[in-house]
Amino acid sequence: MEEIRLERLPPEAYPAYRRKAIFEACKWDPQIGDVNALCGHAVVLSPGAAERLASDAERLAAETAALDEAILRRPDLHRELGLNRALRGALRGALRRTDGRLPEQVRLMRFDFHPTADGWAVSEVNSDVPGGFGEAAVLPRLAAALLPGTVPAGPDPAAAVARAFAARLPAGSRIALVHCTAYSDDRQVMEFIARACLEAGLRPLMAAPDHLRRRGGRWECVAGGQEGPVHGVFRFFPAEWLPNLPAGWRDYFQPGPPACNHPLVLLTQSKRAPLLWDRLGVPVPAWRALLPETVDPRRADWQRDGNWVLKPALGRVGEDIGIREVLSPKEWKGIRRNARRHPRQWVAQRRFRSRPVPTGGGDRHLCVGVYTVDGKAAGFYARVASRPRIDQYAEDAPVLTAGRDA
Amino acid sequence: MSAAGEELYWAWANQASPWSAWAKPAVFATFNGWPSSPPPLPALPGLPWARDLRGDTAVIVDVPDGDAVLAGLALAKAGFQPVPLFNGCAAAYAVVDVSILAAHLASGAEVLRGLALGPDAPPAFLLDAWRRPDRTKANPGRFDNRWVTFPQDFPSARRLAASGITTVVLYAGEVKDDLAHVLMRYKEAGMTMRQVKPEPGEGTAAEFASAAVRPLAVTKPSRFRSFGFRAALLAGLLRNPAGGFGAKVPQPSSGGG
Repeated sequence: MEEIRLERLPPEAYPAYRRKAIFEACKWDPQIGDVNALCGHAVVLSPGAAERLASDAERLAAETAALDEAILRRPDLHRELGLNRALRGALRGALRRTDGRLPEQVRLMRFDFHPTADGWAVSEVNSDVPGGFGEAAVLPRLAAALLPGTVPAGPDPAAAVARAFAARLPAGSRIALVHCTAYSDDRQVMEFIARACLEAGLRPLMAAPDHLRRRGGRWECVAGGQEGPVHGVFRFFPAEWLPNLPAGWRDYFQPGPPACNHPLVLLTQSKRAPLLWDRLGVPVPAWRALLPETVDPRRADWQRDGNWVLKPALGRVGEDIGIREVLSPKEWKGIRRNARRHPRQWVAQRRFRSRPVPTGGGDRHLCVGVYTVDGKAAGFYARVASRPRIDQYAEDAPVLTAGRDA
Repeated sequence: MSAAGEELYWAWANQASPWSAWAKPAVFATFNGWPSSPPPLPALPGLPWARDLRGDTAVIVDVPDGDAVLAGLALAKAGFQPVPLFNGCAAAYAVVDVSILAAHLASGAEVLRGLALGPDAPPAFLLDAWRRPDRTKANPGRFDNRWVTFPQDFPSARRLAASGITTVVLYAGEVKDDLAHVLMRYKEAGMTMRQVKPEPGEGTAAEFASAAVRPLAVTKPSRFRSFGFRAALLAGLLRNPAGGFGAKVPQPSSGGG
């Protein structure tokens, strides 16, 4: 596939690249076990490939936004998404208060593209809380400086998010960055978003989910030293975790100040959402063209046929994805047992053949994430692995494009 | 984030050492009160036992707060490369106060620069034993910066063995639940496990100084190697009764979530 290559960063420059990434990109987890999480290669797309991925992501974003509302208006289908009773109740409550329309929000998504033998395929959309902003914004800038003839393939998605909030709110508005405060993995993402907010003239607040209180349709922050009104909410706390909070979690599902994203997008975060397409009356040609066949696990012979992949309905970072031959017997056994016992919480997806990209050190499989903010392409983020499963042990790589005259 | 924090991180994450790849930036990146002129360090613990260790030994320090830093510096003087694995973030109104730990990190940076440890120095991984204090301290409004350590925060036994390291010495009063998962992996891989443990109780660095190196009996922790281990461990970090973590938190959402 000539439109994509992996180009090695100059080895003598790599240590400085890694050092800069840690603090400039807020990459505080640069080492995962024995794996250096910062890839020594850059993904270089042809200009045409970058444009096509951006265009496809925008078409997918438009269709996903339509699906958000179409599914919201069909509470009879919510159980099929693998959502628990508490979440389904919150969704019904939100439907009553929103008249079937999603509240004002900065709509952020990330679509994960994979090169295959048949062209590009999309494995999923991170519709709720995509991450990777620091990597997407900073690594390309650092890498392009090391690889003549290349430029970052896309803009800074964190800046795009901050600008989208700034376009909706007065200067100086307070944006609560809601996350698991005890995870440095999540805090690093919030630190990067906070910088973007400051540059956009907004005031970021670091907050846990229960630091926000809703009073009379307005949000307030009760975190020590940050008390006061909240004018916008950037949530990096998955919507399906909200019911674990002690009280007030349903408030997140109500209309309110601009949010990114509103938790109602959980409807399209579920990997079982494609099972509903035929019952919604929403045309999804881009999704149908790019997403491999996806069915209820009870309708696929995945236990004998290795052409199916199992995915948890609400899985993240590629974990618990069942690809038999790339898992240990113990891992596969655990996934198989869970999928058989709880099929409504899984999907079976027709396996695409990831097309490896050669490097001097062996073939690599990759996933190129394309962000959209309010429907517009807003940056690229890649993960690279030596096996055809992109999970938490994959390496982060910058996405560049060859300059027009390169 | 201050430039001082970044500069201090690189003093601790000695680029000559292969083990510095595991050093955690979180405290360095989030603490904002770095002193312009670091205060004098308290006396470092003697750690006479450390002088008898050979290059085939890695040390894991798990003592409270700034004592972990002091122990790391003492081990550096005995030829070990300290590797800070402190993974909690600093914040106002935080549950875990990192100010003393940070002050010692700042003061200790100069010590490390002076030692100029080489690439062959075996690692001493540093943890704060107070990383997960009693949950009642995490009241609403407080910033929950408690943290836990995971096997992926450490090099594997295979990686240690590749550098000739076959023994792990735990410098701690007790084996914490989260660390047990790390130690058990090392034990299963055939590493010799030892501990420096004072009598009685958890003790301070000074109390540890005269303790002896003894065999460490590592018992298999609950949910060892289970899919839900990370979830179960983090679920123990509930705020009163939920908060920074929520409750049944399955996985961090970063990096591709």
